[in-house]
Amino acid sequence: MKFSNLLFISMFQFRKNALGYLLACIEIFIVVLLLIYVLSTIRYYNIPIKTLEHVESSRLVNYGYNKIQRSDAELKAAILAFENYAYNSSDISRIGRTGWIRTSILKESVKDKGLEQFPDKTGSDPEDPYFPGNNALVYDRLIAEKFPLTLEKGYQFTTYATDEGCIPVILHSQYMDRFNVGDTFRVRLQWADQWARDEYDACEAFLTVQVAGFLNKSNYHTEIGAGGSFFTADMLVTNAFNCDMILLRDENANFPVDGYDFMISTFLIEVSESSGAVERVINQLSPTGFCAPLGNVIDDSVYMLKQKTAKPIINLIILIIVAAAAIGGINGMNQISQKRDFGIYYICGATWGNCIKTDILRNVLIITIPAVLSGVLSYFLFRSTETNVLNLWDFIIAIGVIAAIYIISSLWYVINLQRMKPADSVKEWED
Amino acid sequence: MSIIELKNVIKTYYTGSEKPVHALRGINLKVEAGESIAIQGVSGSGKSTLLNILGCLDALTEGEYYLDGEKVQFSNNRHIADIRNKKIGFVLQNFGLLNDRYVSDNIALPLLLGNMSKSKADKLAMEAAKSTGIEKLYGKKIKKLSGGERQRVAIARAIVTDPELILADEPTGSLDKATGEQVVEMLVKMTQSGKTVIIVTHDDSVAERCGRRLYIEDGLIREVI
Ligand SMILES: Nc1ncnc2c1ncn2[C@@H]1O[C@H](COP(=O)(O)OP(=O)(O)OP(=O)(O)O)[C@@H](O)[C@H]1O
Ligand SMILES: [Mg+2]
Repeated sequence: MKFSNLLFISMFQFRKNALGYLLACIEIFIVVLLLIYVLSTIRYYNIPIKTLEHVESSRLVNYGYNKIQRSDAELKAAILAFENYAYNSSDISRIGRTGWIRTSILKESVKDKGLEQFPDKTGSDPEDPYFPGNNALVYDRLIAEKFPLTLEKGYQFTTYATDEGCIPVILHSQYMDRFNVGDTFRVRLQWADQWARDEYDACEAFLTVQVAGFLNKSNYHTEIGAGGSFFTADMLVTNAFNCDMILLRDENANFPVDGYDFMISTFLIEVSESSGAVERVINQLSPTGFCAPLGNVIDDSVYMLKQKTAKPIINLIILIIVAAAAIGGINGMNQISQKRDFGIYYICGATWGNCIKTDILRNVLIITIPAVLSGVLSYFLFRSTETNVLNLWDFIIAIGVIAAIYIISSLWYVINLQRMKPADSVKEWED
Repeated sequence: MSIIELKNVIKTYYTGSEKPVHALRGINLKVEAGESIAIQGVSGSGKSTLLNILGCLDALTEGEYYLDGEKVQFSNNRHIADIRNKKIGFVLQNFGLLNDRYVSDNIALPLLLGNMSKSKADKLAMEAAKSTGIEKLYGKKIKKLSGGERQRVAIARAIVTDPELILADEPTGSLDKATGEQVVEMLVKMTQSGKTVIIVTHDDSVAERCGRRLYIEDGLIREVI
């Protein structure tokens, strides 16, 4: 049958029960929106588990000092214990960071420095007041003592006194011929406590920094861990230097950012799968009474992650069932009134196949507009928020689920129509 | 050549566990083009069953049905849909119209199903509406029309494809006497242009207007002279 005629006849169904179709449209709109929402939350909850794929096979022990406040002495002991053990043990396979920190230099504040000639800054958007961000690190006295910086030029952390209101920074050696010790400029500091977060979803602070020194060239340029993946224990320190800028934090200096130093504070240690490894790691790292509880903390948080992940999946299943029931209900209602119409089409020379085609086409017409609308809306609502991360697959899956519900309902209708004798359908509306 | 020839047509309904219903027990019938025929009989005698088979709405159980010299193959859905679309016009007691649609859509429906373009179908539908005197109602919705007007829309739809055979099942059943007479008048008049008209009716006065009267009794045909 000609498509234009098929389309025209399938439109008959719309005006017949305009309110019903409006309701169906609204319902599809809401269901698609909800589906995308649930899918995007699943994606969000899955990110940590995805990043830490090894969670299942091995286990993770948290190592850190900032989140649980401890005395310096305790922390030092813990770090030492960790270092000694991590370097020599085959139980610890890899170490990863759990968050990221970046600094972007305000163009206005470095006008005459010619930074736009740097390869990593040439592509910068001229409209953007900041240069593209680079990895950064916050260094405090404790870390400085454990991993002292080797400088090409300038002053060590403890020996440099900055101007009032400035944060001292050690710059990468590539800046050496552009800046002098004592120069000040503005930066935007951004950080997030999870690798998966993007810049739109990060915390930020605006700082005036003052150059205290420049890193030794040999400190730089290791790519490992740059993308946020795991790196081996012995590369931990080199990786820490794989950044443009090290912000120095004196305990007495009023660092204006709260929670800034999680960056160094939270590492994830992947423990190998060999039997008893986790116990050994915890035993070895617990002389200070510090790592063992943290080990439990991370176990708990992994467990919580899984629970969080499970919940949206259950939501999704419930949502699909409810959506199927509701849409099936609306469709079923329409189909009862459609039987009579299809009987009429049949008498006028349609096959049941033609009738089904008008049914399918009608469904496509109903689905398309609300599905597209809710897809577009969800892009603005859930693109990247506290609890959602949106992805093209979310749209595809959501619209696919709705389409599947309709296809199943149409198929069900085909089966029913074929069982029905034509004469009966005629009778049905003769009555 | 006869337009319709039924050879020993049997129709049996098998309804699950109940006893099979023998609705037609061996119908032999020849109808010439241009005839008007009334089919009468008590309720449940098989009138509608016969009309449904003639209209290719229901398959026969045994026997043969030749329409226009060609054997009807009930197992071929496209084939019988094509016959319904091109060769047969149906008029029913309860009109069988799309009540929420316009008169124009209802009349044009068989043409659209027969793959005609919308504009051409509209033109022919308007002509059919004129020939049944409802051109003034053309843009109205069916649910706004009276019974008599609806039946005239149904007749317009039945003749819009210029079929050879018009089948009417109790076309006056839902109408008052005067309107019913007009409708029958209109149907019978179509034989003048060579169409064959078969009307199932309870009403003797309707049957009297037809050229030939058949009685169905117990699934068998008896001709009344
Ligand atoms: N789909 C069906 N299934 C089972 N039996 C049926 C079916 N359709 C009709 N019958 C039976 O076949 C017989 C003939 O029915 P039909 O509808 O042809 O009678 P009718 O002469 O048109 O009656 P009426 O004047 O009441 O319309 C009846 O006994 C009826 O019960
Ligand atoms: Mg009947």
